Formats: sequence, structure tokens, C-alpha cells
Amino acid sequence: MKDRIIRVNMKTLTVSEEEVPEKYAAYGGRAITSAIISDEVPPLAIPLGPENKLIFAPGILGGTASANSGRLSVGAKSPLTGGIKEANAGGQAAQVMARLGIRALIVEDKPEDTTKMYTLEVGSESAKLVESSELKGLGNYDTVDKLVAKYGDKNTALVTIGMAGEMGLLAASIACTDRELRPTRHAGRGGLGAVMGSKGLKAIYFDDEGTKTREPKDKEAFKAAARKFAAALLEHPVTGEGLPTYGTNVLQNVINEAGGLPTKNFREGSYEGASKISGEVQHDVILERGGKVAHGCHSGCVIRCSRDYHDKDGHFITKGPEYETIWSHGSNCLIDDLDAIAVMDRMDDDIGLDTIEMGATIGVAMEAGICDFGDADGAIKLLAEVRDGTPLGRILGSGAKVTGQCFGVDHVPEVKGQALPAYDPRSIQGIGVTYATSTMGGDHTAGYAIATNILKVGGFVDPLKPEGQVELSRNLQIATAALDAAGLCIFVAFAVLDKPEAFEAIYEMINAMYGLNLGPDDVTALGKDILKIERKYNEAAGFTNADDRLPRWMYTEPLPPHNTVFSVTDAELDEFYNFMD
Amino acid sequence: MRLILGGKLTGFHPDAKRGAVEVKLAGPTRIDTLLGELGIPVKEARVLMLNHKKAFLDSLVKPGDRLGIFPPELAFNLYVALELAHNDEESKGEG
Repeated sequence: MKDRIIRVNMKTLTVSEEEVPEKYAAYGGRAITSAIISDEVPPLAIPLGPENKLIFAPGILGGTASANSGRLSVGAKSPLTGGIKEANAGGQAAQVMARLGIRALIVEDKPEDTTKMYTLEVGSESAKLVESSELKGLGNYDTVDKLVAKYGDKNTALVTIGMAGEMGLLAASIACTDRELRPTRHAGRGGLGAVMGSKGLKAIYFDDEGTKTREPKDKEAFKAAARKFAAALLEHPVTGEGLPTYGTNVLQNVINEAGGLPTKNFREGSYEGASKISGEVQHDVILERGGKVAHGCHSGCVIRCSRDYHDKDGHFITKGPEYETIWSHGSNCLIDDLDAIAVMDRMDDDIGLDTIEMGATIGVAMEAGICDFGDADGAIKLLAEVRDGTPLGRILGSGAKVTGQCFGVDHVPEVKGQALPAYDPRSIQGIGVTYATSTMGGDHTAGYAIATNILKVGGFVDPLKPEGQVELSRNLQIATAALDAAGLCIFVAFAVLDKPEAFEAIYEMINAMYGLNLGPDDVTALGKDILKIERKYNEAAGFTNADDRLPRWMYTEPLPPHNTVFSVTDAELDEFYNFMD
Repeated sequence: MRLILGGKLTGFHPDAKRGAVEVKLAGPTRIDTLLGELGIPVKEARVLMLNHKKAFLDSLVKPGDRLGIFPPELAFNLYVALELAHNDEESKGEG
């Protein structure tokens, strides 16, 4: 089957198909979402207006037998940052899309009748829009229940939005169902759920009936490379043992001991309550209650960092929760109650909200005195305000920056309008460079991995000092952009960057899949090309170097326990994009 | 002193499962000596954080200090991985 692009026009309610243009031939995931935005969305477009486009794309290795290749990239001009956005998610959608031969799905324009909502049905032979106003106003869980009742629980993958997306809130996410058909995996960042809602699109149903794993051009070579890749992931202590056993939240204690755990709305760098909500405690609680550890969020995942969290009576509440969520709703708000955090994670998933943005927002709301730090019930009530669409809820659902502006808070952790994640850049300076310079706004995944081997960063970069941080972050961001284009989970980086054979296996798989002859330099070149496209788009949208800065207080307020400030200079930050044409 | 054990290392102290534990020290003690007393193999103590800063096997722990010890499978964030690069270089130098 030849790959295709599906174009959905929400004004005319028509669907068309086209061949993948030659210029996108080697593009998948973030590469193709960003390229299409750059080519088709005017940089000054209003994010919730008809000119913006929402693009879904599996990675170039999606739907293949490669381990951990099931990330779904979702792109648009972001209503939160005003710049280009790619947020990616796990779940089943990307694998099914790729097996259906869909390189990208473009949703454009807006319906004339804004009271109606639609579901897009996509199968191997056809794609069509059906009106589904019965889903209007529902949360993701109820939406998925109704869609599963309609389409069945076999061969189904769903992409949906909750109330936040329908309301056009800037923290709105897009949910993807996991293997158990739960809306637990979200393209969280940047308010893409609001873009989907603005187009009247409530859900996408992908029919996996009759599809097969994508066949490589060179089967034997692909098999060998895929085997090498999976073996490296399973052998590496982090991807083979740490993440499956304890999940991402194993970082809670580690980052706390490093003094980089943002606490009380980024006022402190360590939290006494962290050990009560650590990955180790979470692991034991999950097993005591009959939940699951070592759960893969999509087929083909061998790392299995997901988990099922149950309440005290043994009923499923939510997945994970993940480190970022337990930090944002927990440490950042001085809440050391895993059950309360799990309830908030479930609410975020149901309402369709980015958990990082919402935890950071509640921290700002606590700073404003709307509720007390440590008040779990109060925090849950604030999320209920968002769900119910009250005036306060709509402010909160529009993120940390808007909430800070509305309540006169001068201590708001955000870059380019997007809330900062779970690492304080005053203790971990390198991640601060990523927050400042990423085309995505405050984002840890854009430059999270470690590149000491393949990109020859080498040596020791002291996290408390500015030296070497820009080069480190640059190389990480280039490598990450390439991984995002492949559709690979960011966590493969731990093995890829420690084990040369794992890195080799990635381009060997791509070569065997498509009959190409790529080498390591081509991977780097692809990453640079993606960043160039995104940077140029943001410049045309009005961003300058002055936007590549952390909040001013991070340069002036020392963070305990290290009592350091962010000290990478503006001139050094401005050197980040030295590879631009 | 307060001791935080990560991951499977929680099995080396009866109370470490639920967070930080108090450990009595007679006086300044090297970390490798403390590891020996706890029964933790040196190769499992991949990341050492003393009062939130990197530490080494010969670093001295004193009463009132805070020490985090994490195994290799937990050593996976930016900060810690950079620490590993540093430690690996040092160990190469020693070798």
C-alpha cells in the first residue's frame, strides 16, 4: 500500500486523499507536521481560526515491527504559545494510522454551524465525517464509552477531546486510547485540544480491521535491526528494569535529592513530602491494590513504563500517574497524597487537559491565595471548576500564564506562554537552555535525552554552572527532533545514547524499511532541518531572541538548597541557533 | 543522618520502603564504609547525592547529613546521567 495524506475540510465536511509529495518522502511524525504547518498555515494565523490546521502523523517507523515506534505527532499553530507546536502521545492511534498507510491527516477550516460536533471515521478504504452531537459536552471517558459501543472494542483506536477542547481552553489536550481503550494517553502540550474543538471535531475513529504490520523493503535486514534495537532496550538498566518496574515517577526521589524538584510553585528545589509520593511507594501501592506495573501504552512497547493505578477498593482510577503529573499536582502544590493526585490525573484526562499545565496553574492559583498550598480537596475543586466551565474554571483552563495575569501573580513558571515542567533550571541549567530556546515553549522533552556518545558532547557538564549547557541542549534538541520524526518514544534515548548498536539500529531499520542508505550524519541533518523549519516559522509569527528567555525571577531569586540562579547569559542563549542558514 | 534509598536498594533497610530513614552515625563515615554496613554492593550504588550534591565513595557523611543512594536502573535524568559521565571518566582515569 502506498502512503497517502488524508485532508479533511470541516467547512465543506468533505474528505479527500492525495499522494505524499516528494518533498515529504522521508518525513514522518514531527518532521511532517511541522513541514505542513510551515507550508500551509500562515504564521500570523489565529490559532483557533479557520486558517489554522491540525495535523496528525505517525512516525516514519510507525506501524512497523520496530519496538516503541508508536508515538503520534500532533501539530498546529499553538493557541497557548502562538508558535508552531508538535505534541506527541502514546496509545494505539499512530500504529493503526501507519498500518492504514496514512502518513498525515490534515484537518482544516471550521464548520459554519458551530453548534455541531463531528466524528471522523477512517478505515482502509474510506474516510468520512459523521455528525455526532450526542457527544457534545462529554468528557473523554464517556465519549470513548459511547464510541466503543458504536464501533466495537476490537480493532479500534480513538482520538478524542473533552470539555476543555470544546471550550477552546488553552490547556486543552487531545486524548488517544491505550490498548484497553481508555483515553489515557494525551498530546498534552500547547492547547491542541482547543484547535480540534475549534474545528468541531470531537473524535477520530481508526478502524484497524484487516490491517497488517507494515512490510519493509528488505525484510531480513529490518528483522535483524529491529532485533538489535529491542535487545538494546531490554538490556539497558533504565529501559529494561528501572522504567518497567517503577515507571517514570522513579524520578521523584532522584530529582528531589538533586535539589532540582520544583516545589511550591518553583519557590524551592526539594520537597520533604516527595518520598511519600515516590515511584517506589507508588509501585508498592499499585501492587497492594491489584493494579498493574510494567504496562505498555501501545502495542510494540518493550519498555512498559505505564501502569494501572487503583483506588483503595481495587477499582481502576487512572494510568500511571506519570512523574510530571505527580510532580505538578503533588510537589509543586505541596500535596503528598498519591490518591488525590491520581484523582486529579483522572480528571485531567477526562476533561482533556495537559497535566503539566494544570499542576503549574494550580500552583499559581495557590500563590494567588485562591486555595492553600497543600489543600488537595481545594485543588480537586479547582479542576471541577474547569470541567464545569465556570468563569474561574475557564481562566484556570487557559493555563499558568493567563491565571497569573488574571490574579496579579508575578511568579509564574512559563516560557513562551507554556508552563515549565518538573526540573528547576536553576539547579539543572542545561534543561533551562532547552526551556528557553525550544521552538515549543517551556518543554523538557525537546532536549531531555543524553547525547554524550553519539553527538560527542562528551565530558562533564556541571548542572549548576553555565559552561557547556548551550551546546549540550542544542545537540539534544537536534537528536530529539529526529526521534520525534521516527515516531520513537523519547525513552529509547537512554539505550540509544549509551549503546552505539541501538543508535545504528534506528537508521538501519529506516534504511531497510524504505530502501534508503542513511547514516548517522543524515539523522543529525534531519533533526537540524526540523528545528530550522520550526524556528523560521516562529520568527515569521513574531518571535525574537527576546522570547528565548526564562522568567526574570529565575535570574534573580536563588533556589534552595543550592541557592543558585539561572546563569547562562543571553548572549550564550542567542548562539543556540548557530546552525541556521 | 537521613538516608534515602532508591529502587531495589530499599530492600537493604527495613524502613526504607516508605521514604527517608534515620541512621545513627558515631562520627564522620566514608560512604563506602556505610555501604558495607548496609550490605549494599558498591556497583549498585550508582548515584550518590550528599546534601543534594554529587558525592563519591570516599566522601564523608556526618551526623545531620542527608544521603541519597540510587542504583544504575534509576540513573536516567539529565543531571544524573551527566554525573555518570563524570564518574565514568574518573574511573577510567583511576584504571
